[in-house]
Amino acid sequence: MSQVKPVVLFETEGSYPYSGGGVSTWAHILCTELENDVDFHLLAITGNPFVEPRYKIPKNVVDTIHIPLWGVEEPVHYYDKTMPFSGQIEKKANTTREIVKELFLPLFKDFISCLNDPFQDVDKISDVIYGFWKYFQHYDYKITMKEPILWYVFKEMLTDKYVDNYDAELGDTPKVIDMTFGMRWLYHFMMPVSAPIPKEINVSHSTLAGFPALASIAAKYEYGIPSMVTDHGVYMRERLINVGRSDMTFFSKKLLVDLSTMVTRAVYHTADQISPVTTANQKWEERFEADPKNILPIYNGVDTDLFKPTPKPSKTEGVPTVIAVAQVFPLKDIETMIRTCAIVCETIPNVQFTVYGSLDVDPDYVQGCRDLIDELKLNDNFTFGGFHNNPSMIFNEGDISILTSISEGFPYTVIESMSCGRPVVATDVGGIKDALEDCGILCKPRAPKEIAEGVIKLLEDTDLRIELGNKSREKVLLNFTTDRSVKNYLESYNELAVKPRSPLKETVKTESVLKLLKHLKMSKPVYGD
Amino acid sequence: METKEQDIISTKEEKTSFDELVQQVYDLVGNPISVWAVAATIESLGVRDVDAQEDYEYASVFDMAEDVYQEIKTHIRAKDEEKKEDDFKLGNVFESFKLFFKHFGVGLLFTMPMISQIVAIMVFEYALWAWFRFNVAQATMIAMGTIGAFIVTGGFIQVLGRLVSKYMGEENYYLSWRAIKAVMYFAIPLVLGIAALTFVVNIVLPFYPQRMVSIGLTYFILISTMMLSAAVLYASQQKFIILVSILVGTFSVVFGMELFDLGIYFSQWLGISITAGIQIIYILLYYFFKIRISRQQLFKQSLPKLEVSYYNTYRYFLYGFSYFTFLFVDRILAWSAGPPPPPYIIWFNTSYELGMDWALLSFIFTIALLEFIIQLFSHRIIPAQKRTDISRLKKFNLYFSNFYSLQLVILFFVGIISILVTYYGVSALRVFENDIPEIRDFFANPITFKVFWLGSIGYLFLVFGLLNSLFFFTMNRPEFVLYSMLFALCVNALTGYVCSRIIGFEYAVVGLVAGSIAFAVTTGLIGKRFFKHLDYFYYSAY
Repeated sequence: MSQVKPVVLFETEGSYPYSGGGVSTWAHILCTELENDVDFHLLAITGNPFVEPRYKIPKNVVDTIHIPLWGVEEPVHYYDKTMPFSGQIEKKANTTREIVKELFLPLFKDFISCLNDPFQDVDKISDVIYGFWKYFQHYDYKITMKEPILWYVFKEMLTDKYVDNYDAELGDTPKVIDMTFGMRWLYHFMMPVSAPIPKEINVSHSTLAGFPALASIAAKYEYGIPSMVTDHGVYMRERLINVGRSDMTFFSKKLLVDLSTMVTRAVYHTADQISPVTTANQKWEERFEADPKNILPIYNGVDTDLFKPTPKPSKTEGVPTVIAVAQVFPLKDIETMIRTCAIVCETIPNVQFTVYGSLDVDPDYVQGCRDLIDELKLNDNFTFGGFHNNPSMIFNEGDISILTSISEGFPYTVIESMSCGRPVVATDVGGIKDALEDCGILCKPRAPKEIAEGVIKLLEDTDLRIELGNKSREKVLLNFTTDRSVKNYLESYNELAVKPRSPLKETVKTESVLKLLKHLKMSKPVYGD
Repeated sequence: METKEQDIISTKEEKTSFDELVQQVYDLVGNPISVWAVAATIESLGVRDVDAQEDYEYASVFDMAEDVYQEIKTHIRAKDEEKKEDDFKLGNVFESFKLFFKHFGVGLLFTMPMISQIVAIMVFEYALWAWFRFNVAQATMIAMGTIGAFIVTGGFIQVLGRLVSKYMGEENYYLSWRAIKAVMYFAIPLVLGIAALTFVVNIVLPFYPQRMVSIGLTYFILISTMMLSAAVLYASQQKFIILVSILVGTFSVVFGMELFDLGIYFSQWLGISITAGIQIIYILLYYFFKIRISRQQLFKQSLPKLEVSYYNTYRYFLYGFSYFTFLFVDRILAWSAGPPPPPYIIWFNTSYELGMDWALLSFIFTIALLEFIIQLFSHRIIPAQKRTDISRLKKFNLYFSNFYSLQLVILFFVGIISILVTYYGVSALRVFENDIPEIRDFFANPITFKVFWLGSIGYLFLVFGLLNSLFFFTMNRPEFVLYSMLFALCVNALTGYVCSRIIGFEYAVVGLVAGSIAFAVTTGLIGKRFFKHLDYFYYSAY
């Protein structure tokens, strides 16, 4: 193996180190566990600038480039610490209308053509993203993006695509507000493309295949730095679900999804390694340009010393107890869990279902669940436990665990329960099968009867429950430990860090980008060069 | 959400599970973006490939998504044909009236502190820094102190307005408070420094008797403090407390004079101090509780670095400084011109000042209208953006160009009416001429009338410029205002200088007229372009 210490540009969005949650926990474990083996430069995207790290940053995190997408008037100065503000002023002065017209406008036109057809040649999309990065290393982001000519080109290209060549199937035409938001989103979401790339890095690792990985694309083009992407969920799938359901106009949704689509495709296309946390997402990844030979799942891991089997505490002793750990909101389908409880009660009247997790995510949904509990007269059998101050003990309170989600990635709660030797009855969605196969019970989603049968079977058959519990623990020890997960990442970093570098800028074919590169080669160096 | 609960896709009596799925997807996403969006949504409903095969007889969720997508699109197209063209309307008149009463009222509230001073003068003979019985020397010093306070704090007032409004808009009280402190950190030492410097310079080069200067500088410091605290309250949307504090301060002057016999200087200093004190205490309490309740002090937040803050606010500072200089430069020119030569370098002229004060009355009524116009504009722009297809972008801009033109016409008429009402309203006081000597004195000098008419015309044009400026500020384009104001200031100063030196001192007011016309025309030309490309300026207002 190599002698090169991996120095990783670790790219996050809405998570580590400024927010809590599963991805942040995973990221923190990774950084902390690799304290002696890997140095990290964080590139963290947040919504606003006023956030504080939620975690104690380990020593090997040598730098944080914090990019707030909103709330900063001079964004580049906020995150580009390599240049004093006087240098930024000089960049502003250099960003003349002629420069924008001559160098940026062709890039922008290509970019919008990609946005209008995000499934076109992915090489072109990647080239243009690199072109953006290269341009913004020399010229000011805000002044450029505010140039009126870009707005008019944007308008013309949207009109050409959606008005002049009206596609009746879409069932709508863009409104002025779509254009306003569309262009503002470009300004905000593309900000990471103007971030400087630390020269000392030798690997880039994005925690999702979206906007933070723009830096990976640039690094790959400029320096040939190998990159990897971790997919906890599938970014595009989640984007399609969340944007699709949002309260926006049709074209605002479309522009946002198309922007994400082109970025995601470029990210997958340029990534050397795509590591989903489960095999279940591969079909989605492949649809967005992920090369199957680059897909190498790395499962999440659990601390098996912390999550270990212990006897049930006195408060649940003698009571058939089913534990769930889930935030109470529709994707977790708690209503099905309640209906399951009702069916189980018919056979095991003293069964106790307890759901630990936040009740604040969707108060209306929580109320609906409470109403259902009242309606089914389950107040003695089904309770919301809220926050638990000792997560590792939660699963040991029960005989078994349950998860009724209708959509999942690779949930920690399942492997944590398994690590505690408590078998799980869960819906067969996302990557749950990877964890539960042969050691738990998989059911159809939204099928309370089937789920209840699984619960009853495990609660009534003690031998089976113990057998599956033991198997679960064994499976975790074998496949899903933190050590193993972290070791897999370290191996990937080590391999990527010594991988021969071949900067993709040598392969650029897009005219607008070639023109920019030629211009920059011939022009005198500007500040910071 | 685009869909409504009643919007049922399938009208079949017995719906299949597929029909129900289509309806479920439609309820969630409305008009779907793509087949993939439908597939993702179906998956998010817990339907897997195996369910697609067993329950719906499709090879996969993706195959099924194709059909779901088509079903929904067919429904949408059918609905689309029923939809009528929603054309532009010039807004709901009733709604506009509602807005008018609300925001013209708010605008008037802003003018109330000024009006209260005029009323106080008429009723009690005193206001916070005015008195009927000041002699010319006293009036000179106090006017100089007041004008100095407006000009020196003008830049800071604008910067406070910008920063506090920005952070308050984000409901970030903590940073708003930090910004206030940061501005005061510069403003207060500057005010005190200028006072000290003036004091010392006057010792070395005695322009005025030192006692006069001391009195003027005391007014300068106190009024500056009051202006700065009022600016904070104004930007913090706590305008009412400005009026309250000024009323309390004004009564303090009356009490100081009538009950405690403190003399005019101490009474007024007490009054201004009390006004500023109330404002400052209110600001301290307001931000203390707001920050505490919102717990914003617990987050690590900081203002941008100093150099970035300078860069972001210097245009506002320069504009504020230029604007207040613009407002007073004609007085300085008039009071420094002869014949006969003034006894000191600048010497107060009562008839000129009365004419300008009279004209100011018409100005404050017109300015109250600006609040309404800007609110109406903000109220209409987002619905118009939502309603307009991009193919009809020109119509969008044309609509707002017409809106703008209409506001100019309304402003013109309100301005003219305001001038006439002010003229005849004040002239009506002449019936008391024989009984009240102050009124007789007021109308005795024709210069007062001349200055009133010219000043009113000047202010009318100034209001046009200010309306344009408000549009530009709303769209985050302070540079348009700044350059126009700098140009207008030059025109004002040059014209006023030439006229006051060649024709007569009172013709300094022509400078105000010329400068205001320059301001109105320059901003008007920019405004025309601004509204022609409003779509762009609205987009780029970040």
